[in-house]
Amino acid sequence: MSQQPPPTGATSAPQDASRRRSAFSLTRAIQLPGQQPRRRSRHTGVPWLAVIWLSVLVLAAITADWIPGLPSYEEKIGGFAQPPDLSLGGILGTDGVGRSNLSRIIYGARISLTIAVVSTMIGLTIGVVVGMLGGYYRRAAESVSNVIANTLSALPPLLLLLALVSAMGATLPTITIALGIVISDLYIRMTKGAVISAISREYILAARALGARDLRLMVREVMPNLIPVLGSVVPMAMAIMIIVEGSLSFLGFGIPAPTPSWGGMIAAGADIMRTQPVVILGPVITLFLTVFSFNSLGDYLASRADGREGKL
Amino acid sequence: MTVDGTPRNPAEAGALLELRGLTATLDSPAGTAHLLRGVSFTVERGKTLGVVGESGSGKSMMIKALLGLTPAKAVVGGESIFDGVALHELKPEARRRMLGRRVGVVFQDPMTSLNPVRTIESQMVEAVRYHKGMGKGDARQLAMSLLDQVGIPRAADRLRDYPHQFSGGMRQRVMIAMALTCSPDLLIADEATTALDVTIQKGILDLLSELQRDLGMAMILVSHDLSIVAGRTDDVVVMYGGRVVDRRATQELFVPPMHPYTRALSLAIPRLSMPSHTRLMALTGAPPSVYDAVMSPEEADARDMVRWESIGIHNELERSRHSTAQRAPLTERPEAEDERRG
Repeated sequence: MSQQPPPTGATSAPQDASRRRSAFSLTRAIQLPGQQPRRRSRHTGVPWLAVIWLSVLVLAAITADWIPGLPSYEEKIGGFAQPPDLSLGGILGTDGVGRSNLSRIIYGARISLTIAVVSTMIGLTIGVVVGMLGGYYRRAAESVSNVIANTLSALPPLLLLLALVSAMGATLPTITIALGIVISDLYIRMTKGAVISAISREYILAARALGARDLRLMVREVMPNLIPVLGSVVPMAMAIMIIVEGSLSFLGFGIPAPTPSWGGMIAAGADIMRTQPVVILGPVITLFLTVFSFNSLGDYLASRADGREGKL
Repeated sequence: MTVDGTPRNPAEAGALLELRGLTATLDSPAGTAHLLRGVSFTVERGKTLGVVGESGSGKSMMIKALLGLTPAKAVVGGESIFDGVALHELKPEARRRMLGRRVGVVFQDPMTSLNPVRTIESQMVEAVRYHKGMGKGDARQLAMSLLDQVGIPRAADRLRDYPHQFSGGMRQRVMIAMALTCSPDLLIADEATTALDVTIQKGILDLLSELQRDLGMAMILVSHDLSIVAGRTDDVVVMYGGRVVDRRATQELFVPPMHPYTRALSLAIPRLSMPSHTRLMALTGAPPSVYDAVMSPEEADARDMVRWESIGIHNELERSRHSTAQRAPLTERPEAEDERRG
């Protein structure tokens, strides 16, 4: 009579003990008969802390007007650079003119996140359209997309932004559009590369053999392949947008007062940071955590994309 | 019978596809590449044509030229007539639109023939809706029945899977199912089993033969392996250096006199009857370059003589050429005439 292998998942006590004993030995790597192979994930785990932080930030920014006890970002709730107290508005102290730091950070998140998201969308749209046409049609279209990408990357981004803001005024639409244009060269290059890689695959040939036209091929066959590639870059680019917006505000070219922005708060608090460090600690930590979270999310999505490609 | 159950017209007979002197050239910095040097053959309705030749002989390029899938810079010449329509007079896009609804293609590599980021359902339903103009629900039903037809178990569940969740053989079955969505008159299998291991190869070839028989389609079976086409086709075309060097009924394939290259291919097939450690005959040197100038078949044969002589084939060429010249075209074979009359 042939010996039946032990049923999967139903291990006996001696087997468990044996497995525990060998937990730190070299034999751990050897798969025993009837034992389930260890599944090692190719990608890193979900960065839950980053997801939670960004969710809280977004929720707070959206519902800022309805948070009970949170003063307006313009309202003076105390004296000059007051230290933290136990009230909601004063938990992070006050700024140089007595306004709630917490309130200004939360309202500032609206500006920072709006700029990050909208400018990324603008850059993505320009990048995907130009990169797609260049990568799909090659020849002259590719040359044009190369010239656009090279021109954009040859211009010093901060100087370009300062010039645009000086010429057109430091309004939210100006800064957002300018940032979107500045970042688009990254998307143009990435899209073009991904499109060139995708159109050489046989599924494109197969779709063309079925009678699919260029627009259909671009939208239905090539575009979905950009998601893993660009999806991992977008959060990181958003982090860059937040830093650049903060830098502009720090240099005095950001959203004008009294509208709060994190960079503006850091710039305003820089003069008194030696005596009252709490004034800039709040916006600096918020900026750091937000950028760190976006980058962690980008890393996670990139590792997911790598894992998926590895299976192809 | 078509895939949706509509019976094909039995009265329809004769040539479905006819290629006459198909050429393809591509200008490059190294010179003009002659990818196809006048390919001519006929595919009859409901019959299977095998196209064999080594890598670089122009098999896949011939399929691409036929379907209007050549690179934009390639210049295609000659005549191709599909069901009475002169394809060479249509623009590539119009040609693809017309053929996309009547010709199914299964490409070589099942790993890259399906879009990796879309589910099988998304890809199949779209193909069905595009060809049949069906609603989403009906298209899904047809996709499911096609998957079932090509031997995918639990078709309803597998529709939601991504290509990487299928094995190579299963992916090729999915590709065959997708090629069948348009109820094709002609199915082209371009090296459809080359990327698969031998046991899976047989399963896929059996499936193709079964579908071809059941659905009454014509089929072009392209392969570099003469033994694959030998038992599964009605006629065989042998390609070498971008041209057709031999064409004959499969049952006459190994009947002398044959073209030296066909003979060389036949000598490269391992047989169980061979003594152990028998060395297979292999041609020395390289196939002719695509950059070689245009020459007549006689001149090309004379050039290639050196290769044939490397394995001791040197006295069949004249007989073969004489025989090929005397041989009636495949469409005018007496047995084909008899079948048509019958």
